Amino acid sequence: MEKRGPYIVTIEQFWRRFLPKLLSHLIKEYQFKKREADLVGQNVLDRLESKFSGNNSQPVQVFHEALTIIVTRETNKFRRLMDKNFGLSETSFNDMILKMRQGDESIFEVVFLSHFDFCLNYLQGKYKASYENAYDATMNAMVAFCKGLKDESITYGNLKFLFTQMAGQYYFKWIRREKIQEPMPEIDIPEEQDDFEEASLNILDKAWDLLGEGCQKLLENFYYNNSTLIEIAKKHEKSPTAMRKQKQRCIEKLRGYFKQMNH
Amino acid sequence: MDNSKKFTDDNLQGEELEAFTEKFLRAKFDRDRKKRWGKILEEKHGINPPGTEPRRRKGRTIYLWMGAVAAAVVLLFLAYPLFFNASENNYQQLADNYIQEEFFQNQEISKGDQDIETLEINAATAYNNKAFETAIENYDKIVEAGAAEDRHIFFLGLSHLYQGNYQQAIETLSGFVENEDFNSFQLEASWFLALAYIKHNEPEKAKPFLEEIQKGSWNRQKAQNLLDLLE
Repeated sequence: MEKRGPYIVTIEQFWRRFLPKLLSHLIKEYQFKKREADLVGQNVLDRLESKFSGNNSQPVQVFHEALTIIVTRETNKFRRLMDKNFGLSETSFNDMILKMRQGDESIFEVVFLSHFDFCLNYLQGKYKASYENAYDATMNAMVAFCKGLKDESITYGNLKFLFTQMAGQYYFKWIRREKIQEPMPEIDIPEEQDDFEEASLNILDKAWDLLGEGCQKLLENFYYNNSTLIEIAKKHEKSPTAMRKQKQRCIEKLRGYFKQMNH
Repeated sequence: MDNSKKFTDDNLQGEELEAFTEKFLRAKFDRDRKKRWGKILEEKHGINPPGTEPRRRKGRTIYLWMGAVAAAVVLLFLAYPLFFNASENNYQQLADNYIQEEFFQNQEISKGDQDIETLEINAATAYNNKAFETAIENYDKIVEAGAAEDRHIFFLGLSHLYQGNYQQAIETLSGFVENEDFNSFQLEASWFLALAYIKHNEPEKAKPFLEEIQKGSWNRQKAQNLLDLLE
């Protein structure tokens, strides 16, 4: 049997004792959530195992010394990643996406609206955009970002950069009415919708208010939330064919109300 | 054809109707969403839509006026000695307050080459502990090693400013704001550069930067306060 001194332990032994302290430290000092602290802890363990892959039995002091640097580095790395993603860890991000797909945009709104100011300042500082133009471009970027997150064309990584670049693209494309001079393949902003006059949209609002709640939800889910008729039909325990007919009736109702309001 | 006519046109049928309805409804929902967000931004974040004045509460106007008059009287007593000093002292003092009141924390520690990373950790730790000489030494080493990124230069400039080396702060921060490759901290650098110019008795050079900040929302009021005193 291998002979060990009293203070020599394996990584596993050391980690079992050290992990609860580390998690508690990360939660108290860095305000990490439990799941985030677990992720940092896992990264620290990976680094520790890699560092001592040749000999995983060491005096406790050696592990402690190594950890001083590793914990700082991994914590900072994690925080930088969160900072790049509007303060969201990957798990929080996934939670947010899941809720958005279920129609709950509350987390998205809290996170992104609290960074609206940041983007506004960025456009004003970087491109000397006026307040009005910066506001509109940021708002357009937010709408596009919300859609991109839902359809998974935007993923976790560097959301802050992507968001500001997207707002910059909107600024150039929509506000300055210029072609994008330096296309950025990773940032794909949606094509402009047909321009609808404010007056037409106002009439549509009035007609919409006359529709029943059932029709409103059906049309919104189908045309805006990208739900398929099969999904909607399943939810309402109806056949897709019946749902299609109902959708057509709703559109005709809406057109009828629109005609009334337009007179 | 006008959209309002097109949507009710009897000839609009089939796929064309489907495509038009989708676009029309998307435009409506996008507009609804923007309106809702605009309201939240205004009410919870103090960000007003363009072209609108901050909301006022009529019923409280009289109390606000009374408060303003009372505050002015108190301020007159408190600030009495200042009226007899040169106006230069006013903006110098205000710049001092802004430098001291909100220490700009460095949370920008990066990954990368281990030696550089160690230097950066040392620099950032020293900076956050307000040991600016040590921070400057470490940031200088990063610069000498040719590994400086925007955040290093920015915090080097800030270290000089907090240390009272206004000339070096100006040199570093003006180099920073002129560098088009640096994307982060541009607005913040402009603000601190303006403060450095004021402290270095070059208030005229501070003005363009303050005017730029005053156009935005971050530190807008502070920039306006300084501009008022510089006039």
